[in-house]
Amino acid sequence: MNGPPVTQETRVIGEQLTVVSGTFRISGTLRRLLPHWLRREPLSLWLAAITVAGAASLPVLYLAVRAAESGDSAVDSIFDADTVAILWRSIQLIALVTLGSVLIAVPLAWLTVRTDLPFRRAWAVASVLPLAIPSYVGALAFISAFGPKGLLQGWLEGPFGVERLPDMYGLTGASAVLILLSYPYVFLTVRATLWRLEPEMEEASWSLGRSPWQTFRRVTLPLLYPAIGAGALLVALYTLSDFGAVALLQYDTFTRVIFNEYNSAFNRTAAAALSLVLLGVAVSLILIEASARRRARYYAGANAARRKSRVVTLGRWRIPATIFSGVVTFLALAIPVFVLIYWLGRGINAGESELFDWGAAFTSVRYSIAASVATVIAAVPISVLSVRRPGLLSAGLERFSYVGFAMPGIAVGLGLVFFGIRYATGIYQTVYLLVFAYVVLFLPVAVGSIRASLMQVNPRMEEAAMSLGRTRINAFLTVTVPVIRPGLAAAAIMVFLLTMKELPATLILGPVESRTLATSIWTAAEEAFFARAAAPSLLLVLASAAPMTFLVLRERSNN
Amino acid sequence: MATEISHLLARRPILLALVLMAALILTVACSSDGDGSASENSGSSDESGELVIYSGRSESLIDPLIKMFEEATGIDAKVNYAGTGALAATLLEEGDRSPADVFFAQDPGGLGSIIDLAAPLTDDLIGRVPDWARSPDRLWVGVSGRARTVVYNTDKLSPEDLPDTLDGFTDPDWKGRIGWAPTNGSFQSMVTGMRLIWGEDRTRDWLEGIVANEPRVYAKNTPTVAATGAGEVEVGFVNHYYLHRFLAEEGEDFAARNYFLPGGGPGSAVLVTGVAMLKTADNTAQAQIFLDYLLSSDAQKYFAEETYEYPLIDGVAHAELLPELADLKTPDVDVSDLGDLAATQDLLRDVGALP
Amino acid sequence: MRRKRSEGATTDDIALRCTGVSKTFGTSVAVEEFDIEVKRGQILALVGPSGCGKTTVLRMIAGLEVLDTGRIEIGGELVASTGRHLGPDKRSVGIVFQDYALFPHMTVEANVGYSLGREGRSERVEEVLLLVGLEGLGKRLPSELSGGQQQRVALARTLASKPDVLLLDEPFSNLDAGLRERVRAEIREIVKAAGTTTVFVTHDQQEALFMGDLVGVQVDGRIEQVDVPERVFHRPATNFVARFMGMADFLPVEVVGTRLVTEAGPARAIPGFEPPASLPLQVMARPDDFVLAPSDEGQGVVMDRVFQGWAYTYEVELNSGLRIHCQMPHLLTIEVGQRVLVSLRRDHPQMFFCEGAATPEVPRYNYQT
Repeated sequence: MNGPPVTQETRVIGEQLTVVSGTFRISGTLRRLLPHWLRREPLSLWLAAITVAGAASLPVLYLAVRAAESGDSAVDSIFDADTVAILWRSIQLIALVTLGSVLIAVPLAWLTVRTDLPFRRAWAVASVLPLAIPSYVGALAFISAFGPKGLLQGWLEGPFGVERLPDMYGLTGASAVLILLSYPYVFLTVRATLWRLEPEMEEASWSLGRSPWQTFRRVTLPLLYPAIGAGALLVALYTLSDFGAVALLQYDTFTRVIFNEYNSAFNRTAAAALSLVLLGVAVSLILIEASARRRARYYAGANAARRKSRVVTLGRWRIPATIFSGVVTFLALAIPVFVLIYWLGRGINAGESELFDWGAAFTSVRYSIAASVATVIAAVPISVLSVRRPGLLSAGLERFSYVGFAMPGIAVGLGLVFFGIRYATGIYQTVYLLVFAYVVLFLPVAVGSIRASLMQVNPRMEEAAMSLGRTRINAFLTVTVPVIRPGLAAAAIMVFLLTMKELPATLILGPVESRTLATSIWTAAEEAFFARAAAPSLLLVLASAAPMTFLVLRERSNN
Repeated sequence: MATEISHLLARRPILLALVLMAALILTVACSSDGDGSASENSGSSDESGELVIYSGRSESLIDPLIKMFEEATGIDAKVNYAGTGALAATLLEEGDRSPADVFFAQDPGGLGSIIDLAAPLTDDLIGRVPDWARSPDRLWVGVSGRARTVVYNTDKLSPEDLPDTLDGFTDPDWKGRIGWAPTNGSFQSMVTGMRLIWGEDRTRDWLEGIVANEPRVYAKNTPTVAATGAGEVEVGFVNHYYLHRFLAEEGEDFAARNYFLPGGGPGSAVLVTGVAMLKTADNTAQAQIFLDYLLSSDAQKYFAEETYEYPLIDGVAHAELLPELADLKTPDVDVSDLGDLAATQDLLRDVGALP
Repeated sequence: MRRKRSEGATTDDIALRCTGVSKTFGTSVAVEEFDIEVKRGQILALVGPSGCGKTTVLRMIAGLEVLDTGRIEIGGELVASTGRHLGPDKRSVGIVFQDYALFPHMTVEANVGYSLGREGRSERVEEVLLLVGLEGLGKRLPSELSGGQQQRVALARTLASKPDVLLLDEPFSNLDAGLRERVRAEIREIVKAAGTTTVFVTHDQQEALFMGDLVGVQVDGRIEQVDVPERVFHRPATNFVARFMGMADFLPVEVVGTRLVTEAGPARAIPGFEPPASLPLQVMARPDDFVLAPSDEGQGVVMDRVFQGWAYTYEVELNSGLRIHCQMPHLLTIEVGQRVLVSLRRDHPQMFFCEGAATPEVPRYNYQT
């Protein structure tokens, strides 16, 4: 079968991404030479996915190279009993944080999508905003508020004579803070799926005699498992690689060992070896989620023009539901923001000026927009293939894209320094390489969200469009994309937020004179200039709130 | 209108792709502070005559100094701010392709790790600082000094309550009242000094004594000082200048002050920040000028008055609040030796101070 | 779990009764004064053009929508009225959706047994799977089944719960034409074998005529006529019903003395027919009521001809401009453009209409089968 050659191609320099907007047809004879699973179109999609996954693996290559150099000492430190003990501490933290996040996020998502909770759109926005707060800022704020000698204690001392509040350090404090800062991952993915759930299934269950609660448990919840799994995996990986918050909350985890090697021992080869161990843990988590997900091949009915799901009236549950939402957002969002404002106020009082760095804000926003667009585009081929062409290769590609998220940011940064300075000097220390780093770091966030959405879509819809004369890409864009818009939007928001607060890779790879809000916060907090840290922190939350509000409000009209 | 546009875009995928790419490139390349376009050629050559500095010292402290430098010399300086450890690792990865000219580090350890990349410095420069504040191989030179001290909570304690030397804190009376940051580089440098001065065994005893007193563990100096001021702990082992930051931000009411051990010993060690010129430097002349500037009275005065650190050259007075360097009873150790932290870390792990 | 029928409810012969049910969405009236009665074991085919509110009625019976006014009684029990609404889980109603809505994460067995308690579940599931002809497929997942099989699983799932009323929402519209007729017959057999009262919604009048014991024609939210299929077809109550149920033409009738004259010749009425005085009268003629004969003096010209295998359907334009349709056996072939003589068959008594309604009046609601 001969067809026209490659129709259109657009290339983004330095990012090794290929966006193909036509089908790639190869001549019949050539195609016969390919293995069966590769022969099926679209070849272009496979190429794109493999390129992206390959690019995402560069930091891993770097780690392998450096770890190999460290030789025996690395092996010793890896198999140390202490290492195992501290790895166990990390795992405990991950388990608690993941569980807590799911327990908060699923009801919250359900309340804001499916019920008549008053002001649910406001609650939705407020529920996602904690993602905008960098973990170390969040931890600092919580300690400042609830620490043994913090703000709360200060207020209680007067009227109640409270000398000292109980400790919030250690596993409890660290889990609590991380839960509050990372539950939005699960919230977003579950929400996106809830919008797309076919209401008829719940109605069928209902008319078969099951109460709404039983319906939720037996029908809705199982259908949410893919989304919950994707969100939980992100929470787990985020917790695994977090350092800022756990250091402040005095809970030693594996990341501290790595951090130590970089910053105290200046031993980057040992750090690389330990990072690989971290990666190993991450891979296990990824595989766990994958096996849990294996049987989920659901998709909804053929028509996208369906009725909205029935809105559940809360009735007398309205008050408890509101209280629940209120408590969560109060703790996760209001407290940090309040503390930040307090610090800011104190700084202004002390006569500090020039606290608001608009240049840094503008830079942050630009980088984040670029990163979210690039990452979502890069994520599409992998997501589509893993849903539509399930198999070893597509699954492998998808799992592989998760590695970036599990690696410490500094490792990704150094990895790209390693490759950038050797093979891509033209873009070294430019914003292009930096955006590439963001893509590597946050690819799984986008992939997870888009996948979960795609699983709700019937591929027959695209085939129907193709039979009406549209090309595959066109069919995808006009038929499937509108349906998965919530998933795409969730992916874009999350990457945007994550990029806004990203620190280590930005420090290392960023253009030398550029400043983002995150780097401003860090530089100020390092030297205890809390007011100077508070201002960009607040700007970061504000800058993140705007696109979030817009997207949450548009969700409604999309559905 | 919006729906029409989106339909148009959806129907013509090329158009959509082009629009997205344009948006990407626009957001990325549109620059107001020269980050995207201006540095595009910062691969390995700086024909424009810009001095590239990698600074492990934070921007909030150093930026004003850099501005002063640019004004005074007319040289354009581009500074890459990050953590000392990250920058050291980056320099090592960059190798001879590094665009950096100068490395300004927070502590000697960082400088030590890149010693192979450093170029020898002139006698003139080296000669300006005391012998103990520079690398013996003349590969880096100290720029400002920070003394180890004990910060104490003024609500609960006064100087008379505090022991003369660090040994005193192993007394069980101090149980639950101490805060320290064993993961912090400066602390580890101090312990290294202990090992050099007191020997391994006495150092181990001291560490075990403190650990027995169940100190609170903090990540860095800053939270330690904050906690001391708040009363969470009563004393902390820190670098001297953080206190002044808190005083500036929170006012004189901040309930903590520095206590410089009258008995001296390793607890009074003075550490330095340092700077090295890299072999990969393209602008050696300008780098020289920068190093020269750092050790000039203008810059040293800046360190004294703005960051409350100790100036290292003669003829510049330190801030009033600080005791004389000579009075500090600093131990006789070469600062560069304090940079070797590996063995110290093993010891700390051994006694259970580091997990 | 489904509520058991409460004490005191009469075990009526009527399984489903709707009285005056109305529902408005915002400003548009979806259902208005909807009345229907379905006896136990009967199949009611609810038919009407798209958007006439059939699905809304179904959903109200199922309890998925709340009615505005009216009453719904199932098995003699009042399940819905103004101010009272029993949820779907409390009603003894089962609904099969157009796209089946099978639970994709459960096997066929789990789907079918979903409504059942643990006791006796596997036996009942076996029984029902046998009934729908899917025995042995219990362990499959819905994604592994064909469309027709999925539909039967959906049906089985609903039947397993032994509902008082079974509701089917356009069940055959997803199937290809060839399959449709066979599946229709099978489903009808299954439902009859199960003895369940069924309301089945469609926009296809052929389907309605085939499937239903009773056919209800719904237009704009209202029931126009309910009757057995033959009478709805041959004795439509209104013009609309007549046209909807099959091709129908209406010729103006002039009353000349005792004769009823149309452009196609005299029309024959049933004995005892009294034409109403001075109101515009029309006669309804279906394609098989006309006869064509090629003739140069004919009052019509053949404009189009459709081959249907054993017959041709001719579209003829009469001199007055009115177009009629006539079906003639294939042995006679008349070319397009040929002038023809059009006449009404003498052996078919016609139906007469006045201002849209049949005259003499045909009862709208007739539940006698």
